[in-house]
Amino acid sequence: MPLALFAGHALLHAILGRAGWIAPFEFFNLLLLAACATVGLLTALGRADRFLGPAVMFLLASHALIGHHLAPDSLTSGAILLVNILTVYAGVHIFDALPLRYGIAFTASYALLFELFIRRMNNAEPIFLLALLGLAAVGRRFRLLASFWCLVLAFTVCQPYAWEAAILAMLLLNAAFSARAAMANPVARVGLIAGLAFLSALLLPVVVLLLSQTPQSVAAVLRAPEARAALLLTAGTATLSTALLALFGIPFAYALSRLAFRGKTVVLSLMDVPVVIPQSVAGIALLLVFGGTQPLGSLLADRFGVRVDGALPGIVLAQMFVALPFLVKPALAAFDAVPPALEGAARHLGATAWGAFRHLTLPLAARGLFLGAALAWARAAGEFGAVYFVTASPAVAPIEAFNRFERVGLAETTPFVAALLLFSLLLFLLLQLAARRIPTLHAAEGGAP
Amino acid sequence: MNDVPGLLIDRVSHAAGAFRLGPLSLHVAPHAWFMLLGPSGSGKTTLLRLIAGALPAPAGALRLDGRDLGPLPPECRRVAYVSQQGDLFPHLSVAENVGFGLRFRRLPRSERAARVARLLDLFGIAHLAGRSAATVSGGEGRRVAVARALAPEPALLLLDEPLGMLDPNGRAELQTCLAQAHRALGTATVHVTHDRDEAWLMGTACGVILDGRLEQTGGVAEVFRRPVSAAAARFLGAANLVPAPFFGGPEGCEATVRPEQLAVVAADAPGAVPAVVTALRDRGGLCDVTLAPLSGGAPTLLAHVAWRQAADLAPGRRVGLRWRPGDVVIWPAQARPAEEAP
Repeated sequence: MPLALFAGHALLHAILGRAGWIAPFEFFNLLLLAACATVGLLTALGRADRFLGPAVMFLLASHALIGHHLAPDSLTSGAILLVNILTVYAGVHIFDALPLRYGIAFTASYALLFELFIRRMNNAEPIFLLALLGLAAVGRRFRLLASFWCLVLAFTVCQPYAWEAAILAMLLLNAAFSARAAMANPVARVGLIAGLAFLSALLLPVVVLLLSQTPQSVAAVLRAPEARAALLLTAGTATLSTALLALFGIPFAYALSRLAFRGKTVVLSLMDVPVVIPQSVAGIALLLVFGGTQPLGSLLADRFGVRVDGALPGIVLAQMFVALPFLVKPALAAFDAVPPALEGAARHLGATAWGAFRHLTLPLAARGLFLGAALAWARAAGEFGAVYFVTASPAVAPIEAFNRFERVGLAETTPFVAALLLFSLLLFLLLQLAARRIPTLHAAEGGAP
Repeated sequence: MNDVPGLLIDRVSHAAGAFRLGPLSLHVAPHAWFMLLGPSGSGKTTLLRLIAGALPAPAGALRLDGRDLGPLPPECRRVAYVSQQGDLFPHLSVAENVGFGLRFRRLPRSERAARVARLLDLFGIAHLAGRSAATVSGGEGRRVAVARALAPEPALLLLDEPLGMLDPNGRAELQTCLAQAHRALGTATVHVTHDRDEAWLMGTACGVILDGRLEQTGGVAEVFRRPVSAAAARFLGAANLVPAPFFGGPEGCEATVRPEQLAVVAADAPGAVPAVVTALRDRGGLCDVTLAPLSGGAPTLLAHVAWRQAADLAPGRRVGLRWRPGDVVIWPAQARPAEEAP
C-alpha cells in the first residue's frame, strides 16, 4: 500500500517534471517529502517499525536511481543522502513519539525551507542541507523549532537587520512560550503574541540604533565638551524639575486620594491637560506668561532678577509642565492602593494623621511614588518641544540632538543619539532595579524589629 | 455621674442615610468583658466606630473614665479598635506590627521591646515575631491584631467580630487566648458579635442591639434567660414563643421557655402536658425534638434532648412535656414593636 502510494507520487512527479512544471531537483525533493510524510503518518497510526525499514530502503533506492544523477558531484550526492536519511529518521521519530501536530509542523517546515532556499533563493542547496540538519535537531520541541525559524527568517527575509530582528523575535518567542495561566486562555495568548510582535516592530529602530555604534564611538561623543554639557544640563534640570514636582505633587496626590470634595473629577481631568496639548502649544503658552516681554515675565526679570525664557528657570518650568501628570497620576494610584482602613488602624493605635502618613502610607506607597518620580524624570529629560520654545539655548540633550541633525545630518548625529539612548536605558534599568527593592503592599518583606 | 470609671455612653445617637442608631445609653465597667450582640446591620460596628472616633462625633455624650471622648481625635482616646479584617500592616513584621503603637509613646527602647515580647508571649505568637505580617494565617492575624491593639495599654478595647471567618478549632483557641489575655491585662472590652455561643462563653455582661436600639443589657445569663422583649428573645434563640396561657401565664401575653429548659418525659408522668413528637434532628451531642402538644393551643414546640434519651424517641411517639414555672418568661403581647421589622 505505501509503496503503491510512493509509486503514484513518483509517477505524478515524473509526469509533472517531464512537462517542465517542476525542475528535476525540486521534483526529487518533493518526492522525498511525500515519502517522509507518508511514513510519518503511518508511524502515527502505530506501524512505525514495519515501515521505517522500507522507507529507508526506498530512500536508498530512489537516491541511487534518481537523486545521485541529479546531484552536481558525488560529494553533494553523499551529503544529500545523509541529510535525507537523518531527516526521515527524525521525522519518523517525531511522528512516533509526539502528538500529530509536531509531525505536521516538521513536514511543513521542511516544505517551507525547500520553498525558501531552493525555489526562492535560486538553488542554495548547501544552505538548504545545513538548515535540514538544524530542522532535524530542533523538530521535537516547538520552542526550539520557533527559535530556529526566527533565525532562518531573520537572516533571509530581514537580511539588513538580521541580528536585531533575530534577537527581538527570540525575546518575543520566549515570552510567548513561557506565558502561563491557571486556566488555558488562547485569546490572551494570541493577544500576547500579536502585541509582542507589534512591540518588537516598534522597538526595532531602538535596537538597530544601539547596535549601530561601537563603544569607542559612544565614548568619543562623551568626551566632546558640548555633548557632555548638554547631558549634564539635561540631568540637572530634570532632577530639579522632578524634585519640585514631588515636593508639591506627592502631598497633592495624597489629598486627592483621601478627600472627597466638589469638583474633584474636574481637578483630576485638568491633570491630563499637559498630556493632551501639543508640546509646541505648551511652549508658546508658557512664553505668553513668562516671556521677558510679557507682564509677569518682565516683572520677574526686573523685580526679582529671574529671567525665565532663554534661561535655566524656563527649562525647569517647561519640564515641570509636561512631567506633572507623569508624577501625580502614579502617585495618586499608589495612595489609592493603600486602604484607608490601615490608616484608621494606625490612628487607633495612637498615631497622629502625620504619624500614620509617615510610618504607614508613605512606606506602602513608596514604590508607586518612586516609579512616578522616575517617569516624571524621564519625561522631563526627554522633553523637546516645550523646552525648545522657552529656552532653545543652553540646549538640553534632545535639543542638542536636533541641532546636530540640522547642522551635520543623520550620520554624525547617530553616535550622540546612541549615547543618549544608552544613558536613558541604563538609568531606566537602575530605577527598575531600585524599585524592586522597595516593598509593596502585597509582597512585603519580613524582618526582625 | 460624669466621673464614673469605665465607658459611659449617654443618649448617643447617629444617623447615616436611612439608618439611625440610638439614642442609646450604656455603661461598661472597668475590667468587664461586654458582649454586644445583634444581627447583621443592627448598628454594632457603627457604635464601635463612634466610640473609637472613626466617625464624626455623635449627638450625646461618650465618656471614658470621666474623659469626654467627643472632641478627641482617635489617637488621643486611648481606645483600641480591632476591625473585622484585622488590618495588619503588610510591610512590617509581626513584632513591628505589635510594637507599632509604641512608636508614638515616649518610651525607652528596652521598655518597648519588653512590652512587645510580653504581648507576643501572651498571645502565643512569639514564634512568628520575625515573620512578615502579610504571610500569617487568619487566626494568627487576629492574635497579632489584638496584641497590637493592646500594646499601647488602652483604657478600652473594641473587638469587632474577632472570631468571625475562623474555623471552629481556630475559634476555640482564639477564645481561650482572648480570655487569658483579659485575665492578665484586665482591659475593659466591648466585643461585638452575632454569635450567641460566644456571648455565653466569653462575656461577663452583655447587651442586645436590634435595629439601632439597645434592647436590653445585663448579665449574660440574665439576658439569655430573661429577655425583656419578644424580639430580643427571638434573636437570642428562643424558639417556643407561644400565647402565654399555654405555659400558665395570663391572657393576652406571650411566653417562652428555652428549648433546653423543656423536659421531655414519659407520656404518663404526673403533671406532664401530653404531646406528639413530629420530627427529630440529631446534632451530635444534642437532639432537636419538634413536638406538637395535644392540648393548650400551642402550635409546635422545640426541646433539646440529650442524644442518649433521643434514641428512645421517634416521630409519632406520644410523650409528656414538663417545665419549671420559674423558667417561663412572659411579656405583654403589645411589647413587640420590633416584630414587624425583619
